[in-house]
Amino acid sequence: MSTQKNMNLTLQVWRQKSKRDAGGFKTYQAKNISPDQSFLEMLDVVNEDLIAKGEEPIAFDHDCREGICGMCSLFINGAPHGGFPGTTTCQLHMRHFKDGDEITIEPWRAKPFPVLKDLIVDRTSFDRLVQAGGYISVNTGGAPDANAVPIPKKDADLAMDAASCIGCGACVAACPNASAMLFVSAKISQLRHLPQGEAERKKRALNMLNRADQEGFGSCRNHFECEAACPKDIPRRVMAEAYRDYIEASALREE
Amino acid sequence: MSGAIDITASDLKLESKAPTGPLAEKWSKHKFDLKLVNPANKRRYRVIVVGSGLAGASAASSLGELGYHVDCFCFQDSPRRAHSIAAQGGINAAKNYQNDGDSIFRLFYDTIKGGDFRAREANVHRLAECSVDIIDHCTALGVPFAREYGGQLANRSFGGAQVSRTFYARGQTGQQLLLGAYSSLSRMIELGRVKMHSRAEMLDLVLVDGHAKGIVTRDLVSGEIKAWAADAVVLATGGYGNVFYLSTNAQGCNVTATYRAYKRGAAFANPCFTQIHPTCIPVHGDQQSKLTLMSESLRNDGRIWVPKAKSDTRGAAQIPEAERDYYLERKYPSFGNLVPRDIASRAAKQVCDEGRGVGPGGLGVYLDFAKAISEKGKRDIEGKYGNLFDMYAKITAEDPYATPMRIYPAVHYTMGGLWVDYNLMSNVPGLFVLGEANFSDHGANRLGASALMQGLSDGYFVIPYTVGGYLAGEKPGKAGVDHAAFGEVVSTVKSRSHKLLSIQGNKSPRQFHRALGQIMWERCGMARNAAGLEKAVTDIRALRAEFWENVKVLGDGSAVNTSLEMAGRVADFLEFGEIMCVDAWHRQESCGGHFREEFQTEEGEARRDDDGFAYVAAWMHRGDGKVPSLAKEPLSFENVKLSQRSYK
Amino acid sequence: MSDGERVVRGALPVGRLVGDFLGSSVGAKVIMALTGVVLWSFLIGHLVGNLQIFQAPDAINGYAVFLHTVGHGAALWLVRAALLGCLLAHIAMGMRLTALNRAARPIAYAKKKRLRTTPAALWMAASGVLLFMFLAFHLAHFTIGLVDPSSFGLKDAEGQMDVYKMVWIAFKNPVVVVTYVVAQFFVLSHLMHGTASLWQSIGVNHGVWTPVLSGVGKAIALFIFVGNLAIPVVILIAWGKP
Repeated sequence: MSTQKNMNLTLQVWRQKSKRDAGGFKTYQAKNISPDQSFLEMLDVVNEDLIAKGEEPIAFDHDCREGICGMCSLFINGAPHGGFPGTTTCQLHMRHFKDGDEITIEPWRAKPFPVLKDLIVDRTSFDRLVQAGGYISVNTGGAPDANAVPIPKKDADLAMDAASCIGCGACVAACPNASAMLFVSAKISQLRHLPQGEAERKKRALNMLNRADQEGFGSCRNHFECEAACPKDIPRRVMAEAYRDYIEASALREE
Repeated sequence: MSGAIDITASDLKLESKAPTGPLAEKWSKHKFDLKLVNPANKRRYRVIVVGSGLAGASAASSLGELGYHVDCFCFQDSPRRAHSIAAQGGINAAKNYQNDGDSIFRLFYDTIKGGDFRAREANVHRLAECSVDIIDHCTALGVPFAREYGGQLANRSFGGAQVSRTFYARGQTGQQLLLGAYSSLSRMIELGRVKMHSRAEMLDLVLVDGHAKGIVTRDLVSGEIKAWAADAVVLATGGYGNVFYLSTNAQGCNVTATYRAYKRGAAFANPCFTQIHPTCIPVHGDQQSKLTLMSESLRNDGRIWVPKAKSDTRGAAQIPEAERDYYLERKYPSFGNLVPRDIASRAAKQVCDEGRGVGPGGLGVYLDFAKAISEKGKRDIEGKYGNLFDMYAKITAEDPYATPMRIYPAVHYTMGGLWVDYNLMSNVPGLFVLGEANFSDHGANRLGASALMQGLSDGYFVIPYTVGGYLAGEKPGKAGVDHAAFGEVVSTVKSRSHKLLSIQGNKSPRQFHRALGQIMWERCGMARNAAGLEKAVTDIRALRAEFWENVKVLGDGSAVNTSLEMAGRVADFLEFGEIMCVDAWHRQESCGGHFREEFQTEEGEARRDDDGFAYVAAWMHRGDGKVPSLAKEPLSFENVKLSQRSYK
Repeated sequence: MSDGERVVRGALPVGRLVGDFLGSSVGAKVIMALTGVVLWSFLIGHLVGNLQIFQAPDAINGYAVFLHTVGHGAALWLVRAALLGCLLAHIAMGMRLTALNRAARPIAYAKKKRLRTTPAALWMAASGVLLFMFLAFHLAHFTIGLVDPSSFGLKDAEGQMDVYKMVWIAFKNPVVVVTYVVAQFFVLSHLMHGTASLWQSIGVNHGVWTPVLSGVGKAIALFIFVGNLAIPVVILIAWGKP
């Protein structure tokens, strides 16, 4: 339990009625916020106040509230999820703020993430990136015994490091160029470290990265803002691996 | 049945359709007996899958692979978000890689016994059989399970099991399995076999001539209410733990899909069987929206205690050893802190009810690692539980290495669900129910690492066969959305949505939800009694009446409207909560997650009544405001001997 | 049911090599990295050659003659053509990616923190444009002789072009020196990010070697900066005349 006293905060929140609406910032007061509340619980309180006043509550995406589903977003004070290491918005507690603070809350900004309402953006472009090849093509039934192909622990661990991506989009939001490179590469990296993923390794990189271009994501210029913003600490290594596979597949004309 | 709640018997005959013959051969025999759909004909059939968690995603992708035309729906922005993703511990499988005596029969037996003998034998055995295929398939899909240095899969013992049969991927097993299923689903979407509908919430089921032939959804972006026709409907919409308002479930988890199916004639089985998990982080204040679970592996090294004296306000460090009550070690000397989930949870409630709880509101007990740290060293504890300690510190701002953790039980999983037969088909023909949404495999209590197993078994290995068995007897495209039945349901859904928006009362949906949660937790939580449940039914009815007069939903239905979404879900919880209480009231025994204070041994342990209650209680809707009628499926145990659990 | 082959093709609908590699943002990035390496190597050679300015006048004047005559005078033009090609490709790809990146975020954040990136990385496009402008001036100054035609036409005792004198005259002018000094900051900024990040772009990321390679790259960038800065500054403040 925090010993800090409850606080009052000023919020600058992006409000936008629909995809077509221009939108703009509105100022709200968040009153008597406990330092033990999560950021989203703080917004819940603000919303209850708004409903009481007859104003429509602020729409934002959220679901599991334990940092794993990847649904929560929010660009808080200039950084995705508030910019605290290894933390999603739902895991961000109000004790990181002080009484009287002003907090700016914006939606993710990227062309492939259009705002649907207020702070909610459409991230189906991420789904389409995975659809382009983020899988191993195997039908249910008939798989060999799971221990038939030994996988060195190191490789399994490298795959798992990349696999922990929650698909929240913080990488795109943080990137000065709105590139989805870290997201795409995390999947490419996970599957390339497993023998099961080898058969489609090059085609996967080719298809997924080409799809990222088509969806209108920007291009990576090695700022590594994504790496800093990633709530799951996915390392930049995965992107180099993806470049390697892509170069093999395209420039060396292997796919 | 007599008493304050008037329960009538339903004339519905529940046929389990479990095949005859030896237990181990039932599933093979049944698979052979099921009719097949000609490969060329498959694409003429449409199947709707609602939900994209482990069960839904695996079902949708497997059906797509077979060639059916699948429409998959989820209310989240992406199928990858479903709450299966939050499971930490692992997935059981009877691989016996450790050579420690595991077998399909042992997993079957443990699951039946762990479920306190309230599950169907044939289903549970099939689950144990399929468990081994799940691990093979998921590995082939690229799920990065933990490995030993030699490259073989690692296993651990979980939830007090006597064998090491749990496979895991760090503390994110649910996430990895779900992303595996999501990747298959994505492949099917790319190939055009599955059409994905994200941000679409199922609000009703459509029946044509008594068969499930479609659903009605609300597009959560445009607000459009739309009908979808198919030849079969598969519900994989998860559990109803959020009826308690505070639970470890995701915010969006709700009962609407299964409850709407119930109102259309599907039987709801054992709704009172809910699981309370003992190691959650306690409530910090009124504005809390959810409870966070910590893996119960913490109990391997942590010691649970409370002060001996009531209302002891001293800090943990100031309470001398002699004034601490290590109550689990005291009451259960042989299992100590490792007693099953339900027992540990109830014991915590008991000491808190006595006024000996710690932390805000006295709702917490200590989980102390001081002894383990002094004996094994901080490094060892850090190695085992480092990530959990970090998570605890992040949420509470307390250092669990220095001061004991505070924990309290929280609602975690619901064993009850729509009644299904051996084919996972409900009593409504064409309506299949998978995963946590059905009632089938866990009886009155679920063992750790079994939920993931069930979801994937249902989706990958059961439904692809059994849906075919049903469709083979159906002509494809029997009814399209232009059929009158669809129009009727659409207008019912529209008018309900309109009603919610037009009340314009004074209370937000969240306020009602919180009030309902309090009633449920108080009266239908860890311990229940007849009087309390009767009171709960009365209170819920009053709250429901107030809701329909005083709820305040702003905005309109033709755009994103998170309040409207919540209001619809809360409205269904307000009806469903009553059925849970009725079920809990009627089941005059204690078993698994259902503890009736009137039915306990002298030592305070659960007393099961196998003569009176060895059946599945399936509730049938009789009309709004009426107590549902009860249909019973008797459970017979031919392969296991019923025994009383003892952890002394 | 069997699955059809699915290949997502690149942005340009012309042939696989072009469409997939050159047409893609990754291809563009790799080309920027590779052409960047060429241009960077040129900068190193350019500096090493020019440092002969601090020797006797014959050294640099002779070096100039060597450059113009080696391979019957063809080598110089070949190198120039290659450099020009790299430069144009570098600029073209840079412009393309910059346009793409601008389009990827049509609405800017009201508030944006810098988390891990560096100012040098953020100003890549700007430093590139400024570098290009400086390059045009520099070529006009010392290669074509448009800035100061009189000193460009000077000959030494052996009748060779008097590069030594031309440079000394130029850098006695404080305005010219300031231009060159300011430009070196753009060079440094551009190289600091470019040399450190090029390995990542071509798919090299090693826990130990990548930081070493990036460190060496930055050290070379610094050497280029100091060396290039030394020539005008030393000449400006040095006693004596050419």
